[in-house]
Amino acid sequence: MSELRLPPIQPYSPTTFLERGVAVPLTTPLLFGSRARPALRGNVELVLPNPAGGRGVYVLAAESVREFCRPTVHDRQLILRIIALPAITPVAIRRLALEVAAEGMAGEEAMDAALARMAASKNELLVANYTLLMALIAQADGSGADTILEASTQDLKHRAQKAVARIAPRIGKPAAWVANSLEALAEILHHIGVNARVSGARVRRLIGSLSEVRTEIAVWSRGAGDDELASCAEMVCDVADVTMSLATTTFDAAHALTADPAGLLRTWATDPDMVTRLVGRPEWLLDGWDQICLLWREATNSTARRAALAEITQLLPVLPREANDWIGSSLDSEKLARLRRVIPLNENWRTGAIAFELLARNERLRALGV
Amino acid sequence: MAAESTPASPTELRAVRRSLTAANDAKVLQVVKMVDDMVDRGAADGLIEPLRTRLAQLRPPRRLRLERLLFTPLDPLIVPARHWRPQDPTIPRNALIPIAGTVRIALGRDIHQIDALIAGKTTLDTDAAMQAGEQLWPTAARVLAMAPMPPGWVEAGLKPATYEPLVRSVAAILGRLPVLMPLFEDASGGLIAPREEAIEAIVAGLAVEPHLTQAMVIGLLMTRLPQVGSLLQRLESTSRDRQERIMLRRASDQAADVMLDRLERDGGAKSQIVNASLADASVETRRLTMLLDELESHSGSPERRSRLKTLRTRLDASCRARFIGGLNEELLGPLQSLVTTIDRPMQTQLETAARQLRSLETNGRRIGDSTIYDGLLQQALTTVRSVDPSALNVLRAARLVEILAGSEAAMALLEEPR
Repeated sequence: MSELRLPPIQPYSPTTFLERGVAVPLTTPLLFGSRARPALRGNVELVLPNPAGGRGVYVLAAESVREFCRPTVHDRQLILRIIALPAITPVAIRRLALEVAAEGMAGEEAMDAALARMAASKNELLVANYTLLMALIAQADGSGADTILEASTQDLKHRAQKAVARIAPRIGKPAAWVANSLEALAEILHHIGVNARVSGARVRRLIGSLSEVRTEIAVWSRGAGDDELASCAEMVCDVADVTMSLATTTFDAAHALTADPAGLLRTWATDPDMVTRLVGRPEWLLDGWDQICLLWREATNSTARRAALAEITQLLPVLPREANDWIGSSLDSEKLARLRRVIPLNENWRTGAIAFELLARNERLRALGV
Repeated sequence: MAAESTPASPTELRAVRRSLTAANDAKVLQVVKMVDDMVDRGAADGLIEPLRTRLAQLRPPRRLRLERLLFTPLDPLIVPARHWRPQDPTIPRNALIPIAGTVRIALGRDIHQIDALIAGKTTLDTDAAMQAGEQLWPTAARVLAMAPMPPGWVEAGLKPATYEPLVRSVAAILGRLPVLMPLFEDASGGLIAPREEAIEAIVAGLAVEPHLTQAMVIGLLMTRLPQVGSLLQRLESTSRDRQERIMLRRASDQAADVMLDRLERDGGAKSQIVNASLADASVETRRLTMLLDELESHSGSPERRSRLKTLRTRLDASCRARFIGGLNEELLGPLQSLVTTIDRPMQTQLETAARQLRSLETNGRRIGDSTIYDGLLQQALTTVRSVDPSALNVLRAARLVEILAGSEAAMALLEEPR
């Protein structure tokens, strides 16, 4: 008789953010809330919230997802591209998700939103590049922001060439390297904004959005008159608070780099990975919360909010142990697991006729999310 | 000088009623809104009477008033006066106005607070309704638990002897609404399951109530939350208290008879499906299927089993008829009569229709013959694929195919050489 050798059941307590995986905006109801992470031999795994609504997660090979359910065309395309990624990061997944949405795989609304987002991103990139260059000019010739604002295009061009020519030898790199590096830095920095241009940056917007949603959940649960619900909401708010605090700290640290463009270029020349890691930290921390914020905002009455809270407790990003080390305490994961049952979800809620409604909802979230 | 308005004569009212019965949906909704907005509805209320079946299908948002706030949650128990018999676990419609009048008078100045909460709100404003209801229902329950028979009871065509048992039962249900309503609301979205401990507490509390109240509460529970039928059965079989077992059996039986009567009457299940929107038809099919499943699972008598079988057949036929109608009118018709390229709003409309059809079909397959849906969906696919690509591009066609037949079929279409 053959013996089926299955891997032993393990608790889901990721040590690192990469092990937690990156949230993937999939639209198939059974895959909603999935995270992608690298697996052995260059494979990719999907970590799914327990479909029965209880504790624990399902882990499956991304390439075998069709053995688990029938993913939408959008999800098939997105998963295929994720499998081909050299490195799984929130930025990389977001870029792929944007591409697939822009092809129309998640519906017309998501397609329009994705195309608009792509155009806006190009502008943000240009602005970040320009702002970095201006900061470099100001630093190199010791001029204030006023002189830059008042300068003509010709004058700026001339001053930029001089600034690059002055900085390049100090870093030990040619002038062309400085120009290319400013472009590369703009690419990774435009998510957090450069200098004073932070309020519109994606990460800043997300922290603001999370803060608003956290307040709304707290206020709503206080008036809901249900102790268990309040306890559930409190847990969501606790995790949101820790996440926001860490995201703000890491955001400030990353953003501080842009105050000294010459120093930033110097670090970039010697250790570009360090800069990428530092700038990427807030994204890793906030990863998955955009979906949570959208779920909450979609819910416009108490009934819908109870349902949203039930889904949110399923999706709540588990903070990896490395984050616990940062804050010097640990969150009660057992409590979180218990609370997942506070609002019991209907059996088959992701697979019955309601799945068609959920799929439409998930596509709507894609449109809003991009 | 402004002309003085005079009340309409009975002949005039009859004529208006006749013309309304034949009016289109838009006209009906307009009249209902007008009547709802009146401060004193008086005889105008009678205009709505013959439209109740259509209103149940159209489900327009209705202005929140004290009477509506009081009785909408009890709607599954309300029956036309001619169908009501004393000792039935139902509420005759002609009792509503005298009961509401009693509550209104007893509330005195407190009514202003409730009026303020529901001012300008409709039945769609569930949060406002719940907030105002939480104030109204317990107070109304206390009032009705003791109030003597009000003036107008006999004039409404009700016997004095019916007052006490009926109104005390209504009071007992209203007192439970703050617990029941969140359960009903949660279940309406389909995502959240009823909390078993809340149902168990409600059932346990019924022991001290008269039989009529017990049957009404159980009837309301089963109509609004058909899935609790299994829980009630489990409670009945596991209860150590013999009285509770007997109570549950008797109340469930009585409630089942009332539900069957209602489904069989005035087109019942058929009219709730055939004339409803696709989305509502799907939700209603799901609810009725669950209800019939639950009733069948603990239905001992051959007579009731036979009634259930007939109802199931009717529901199956209604569901198929609605599916065929929806398919032709909302998907195939527009596709076959295309004269220009499909634009974004039309694509969205077609995708919504396709989703609602799939939802209805998924629920419909649970009730009867499912093979017919395979053929109909195949027909829909053929139509989608036959549309000129200049009118429906391949991406849009693939989206429709994905909804109708799944992602494999959509991928195949996308990968076809062109």
